[in-house]
Amino acid sequence: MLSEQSLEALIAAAVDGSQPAFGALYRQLSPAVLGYLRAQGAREPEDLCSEVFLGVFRNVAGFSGGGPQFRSWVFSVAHHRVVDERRRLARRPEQVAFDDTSAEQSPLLHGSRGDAATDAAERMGTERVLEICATLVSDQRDVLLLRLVCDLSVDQVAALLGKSSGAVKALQRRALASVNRIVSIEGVTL
Amino acid sequence: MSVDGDYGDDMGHDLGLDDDAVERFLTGDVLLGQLGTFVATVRGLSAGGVPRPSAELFAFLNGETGPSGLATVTPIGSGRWRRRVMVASLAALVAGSVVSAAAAEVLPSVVQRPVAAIINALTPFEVHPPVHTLSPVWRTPVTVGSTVSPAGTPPISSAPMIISSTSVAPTSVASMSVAPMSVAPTIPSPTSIPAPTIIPPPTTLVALTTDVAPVIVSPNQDRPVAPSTSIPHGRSAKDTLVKPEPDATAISGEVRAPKPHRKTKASKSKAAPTASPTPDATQPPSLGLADDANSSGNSQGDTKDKHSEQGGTGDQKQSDKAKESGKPTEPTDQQSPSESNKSNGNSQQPDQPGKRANK
Repeated sequence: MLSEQSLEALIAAAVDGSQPAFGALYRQLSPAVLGYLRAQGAREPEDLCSEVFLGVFRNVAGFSGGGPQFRSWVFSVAHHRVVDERRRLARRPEQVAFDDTSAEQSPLLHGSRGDAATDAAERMGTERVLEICATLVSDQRDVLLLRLVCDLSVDQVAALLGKSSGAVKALQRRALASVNRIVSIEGVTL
Repeated sequence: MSVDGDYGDDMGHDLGLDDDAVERFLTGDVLLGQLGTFVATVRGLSAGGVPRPSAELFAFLNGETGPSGLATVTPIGSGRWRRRVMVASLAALVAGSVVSAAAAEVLPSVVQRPVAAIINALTPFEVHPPVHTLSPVWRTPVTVGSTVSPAGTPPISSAPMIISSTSVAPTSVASMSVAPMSVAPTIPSPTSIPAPTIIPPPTTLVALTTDVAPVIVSPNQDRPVAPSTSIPHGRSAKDTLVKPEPDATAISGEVRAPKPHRKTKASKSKAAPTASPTPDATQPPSLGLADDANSSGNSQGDTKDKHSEQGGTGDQKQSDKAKESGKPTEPTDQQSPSESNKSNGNSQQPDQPGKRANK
């Protein structure tokens, strides 16, 4: 994890057109973007992540701001791509056959520690978390994931979603209440 | 903002935490039970490995293409919507152009007619069909007094509209000495005829133009005489039109009397005059008009019949008077005994002189 100063230096270099700065920014932010896209239920999260960074690097020359603004901009692009994909899938639902190999090659396993029991527990926990996120209301899921995965502040989330700070706070409080009801009252173990 | 939610099912399931406690919970300062595990797991989603870039992004990250060389990424599905909008705009442009051209009558006549029909049927606007597709005769306005030739007969679909605007029918009918079925037999003059309100159908016009009575020339007369197609007094023109009687003997010089359509009492009692119904030679030739029939001697025989009918009626009255007075009636000089017999036959009195004569 880069410090705030290092991130701002990379952003300034990318704005000037430095090729190494692009690679460094991609390595720094792509895991969070991929995690956000996966938690949102994107069909092809890696391809969508590449499209997000292509759009960012194409327009980075006109960017002005620091590290938090850059993160907020990158995740806003990712969020808009997710919304576009939701609308497209709502018009034309796609049926995809289940494939075991794709599950084994999931990027969720990239952080495997080598312990089979731990990996299995972590995979089960991750899949269960994603299922719980899928049960949330769309606004609540957006706020919760942007706050937790993207590590954005309340004001940044409010600006990204076009809502007030109070609305974002209410949404995150209700989202936590819904998750608490699911994991405690219904006896789900993570 | 209150702790309780504003809507929905979440009002009864609130954590009971204020905004600061929720903020500390989300930032990871406080982890509580299962909910804390959930938050930690979600945070771990961002700690995965670096995803494999796509080919285009890989080429860009390796310096093969610059930022300006990146293809413009279009949103998914935008191409389809762009095509739809373009097709709809093109269709609307073509339709508008066709309608405008049809309204301005600049389309070819082959296209103008169906387009005008479609526009008239589907829209509240009215586009006229091309004018030059009509017959040249009907393109020129027709005035009163002109005669319509059979060659200029309009198509049936367009004939009533044009005739009603020009009032051609009575003039042409009068010039052909045949009255149409819907026109009264007493037509004063061809030039002063107002336009009739009832328009004869086109088929009637065609029939009238073909049924022109022949002109009969008598050897004893210097002028041609209209035959029996002239309208007798008291008869309608319809009767004359229904049964045209071309007189074949008239060609050889003999003119026979027309067959009476109905026998009157006078024609029964009195022998029909052998004189032909032709007018006197001094009278001008009749054109067959009703007024001519009234004024000329064309209907002389009918006039005599009428007089005989009137005379017969008068004799009957006279016999009634005699019957009342008890005096026998005497035939007058103008009356034959047979006439008096027949005229007195209705009184149920025996006619002694007649019986004696027969005996």
